[in-house]
Amino acid sequence: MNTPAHQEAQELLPWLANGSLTGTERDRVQAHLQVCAACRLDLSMLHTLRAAGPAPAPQLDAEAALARLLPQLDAPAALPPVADPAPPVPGWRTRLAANDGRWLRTAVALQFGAIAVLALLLARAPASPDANTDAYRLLGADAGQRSSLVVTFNPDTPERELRRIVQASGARVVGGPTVTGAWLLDTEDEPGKTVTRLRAEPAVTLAEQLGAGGQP
Amino acid sequence: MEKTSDDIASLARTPAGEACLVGRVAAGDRRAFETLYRAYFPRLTRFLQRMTRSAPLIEEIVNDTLLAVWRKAATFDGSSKVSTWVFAIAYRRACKALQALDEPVEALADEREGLESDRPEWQFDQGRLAHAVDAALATLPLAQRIAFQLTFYHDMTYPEIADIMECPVNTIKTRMFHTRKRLAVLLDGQLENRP
Repeated sequence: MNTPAHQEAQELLPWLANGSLTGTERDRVQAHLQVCAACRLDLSMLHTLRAAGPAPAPQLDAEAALARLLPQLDAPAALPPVADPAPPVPGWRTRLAANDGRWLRTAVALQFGAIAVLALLLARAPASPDANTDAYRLLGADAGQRSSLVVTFNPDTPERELRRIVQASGARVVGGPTVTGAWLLDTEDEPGKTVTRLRAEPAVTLAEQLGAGGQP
Repeated sequence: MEKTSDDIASLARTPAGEACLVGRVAAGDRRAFETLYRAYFPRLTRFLQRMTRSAPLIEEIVNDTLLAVWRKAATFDGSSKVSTWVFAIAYRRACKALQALDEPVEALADEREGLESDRPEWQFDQGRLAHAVDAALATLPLAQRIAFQLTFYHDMTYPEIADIMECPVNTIKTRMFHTRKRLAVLLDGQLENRP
């Protein structure tokens, strides 16, 4: 049988099976089913397919996923590039909120990168402490007393708290956030102490010294 | 008088209630958004599993979709059901995410090799037919899989599916026709003798 009614029924059977077919279309298909054994068999198979159901979905925790999304609701849809990193901009909580495996892997990679840079600097350091250490000093640098730090924060940390932590540690923001949500700080204090102060803050998830230019 | 949590949760049970929730979301009502999120999370998760088996990616696409719902709720004009609107966003975001990852959206069957969910004991526990259908679907082009899934596991009409997949209704009918003919061949002998 290959009548227009049969062709229409063949096309529409899936939606008769799922119960969404309505009106005259449903009436026509049902009328055709009365006279077409092939379509009745097809409909029966579709009911079986539907009853089989989908394979189980991956186990995902809706509440945990929602908790990860909520901090992003306040962020603007499109964040403009940050020209001046200080004071902190409203978008940084969003950038820090990517609390997943990739983020953590990147943070660890950043840490290893910092270690590699330190090792390189150590290897290339002049043999004599009296060497001309000022030769490559940039304009505005103050005799190499500043140290750079990289810091990441718990994504749930309120912005006000982030600002307080940076100020209380004796540092200031000079760069970031990076794509991984890390911030670059510098400090004129003893960098080890600044790092210690930062690490003492529960909201700080990573605080490392990147380098201490010009230290004797 | 402010609506209680139960009142708001009950809105997610009907299409009209969902439209009301989207209206509240447009006004910045977070409780309404959380209700909508909880209602759609399992549905979108099931939908997206046909496009990628990566649980982190599924969560990312679900959150990306519902973040778009939060931001664009004011643009929902009620010309379609909320479910059609949300699934359309999810479908587009998923296609974009898979393209960005350079994931071959038409060749996901290879990714399934070695998955825990493909082990024989798992298959047995979860139901042999469901798995057989799943495995057969995995061999079909993505567009056919999605049309099948939206029809049978989300009970959508063919105009709704056409809206979501942004194609003519006749294309959806044709896709479904070819899908079920192909499934009948792939599942030969496994469909007829079941209730």
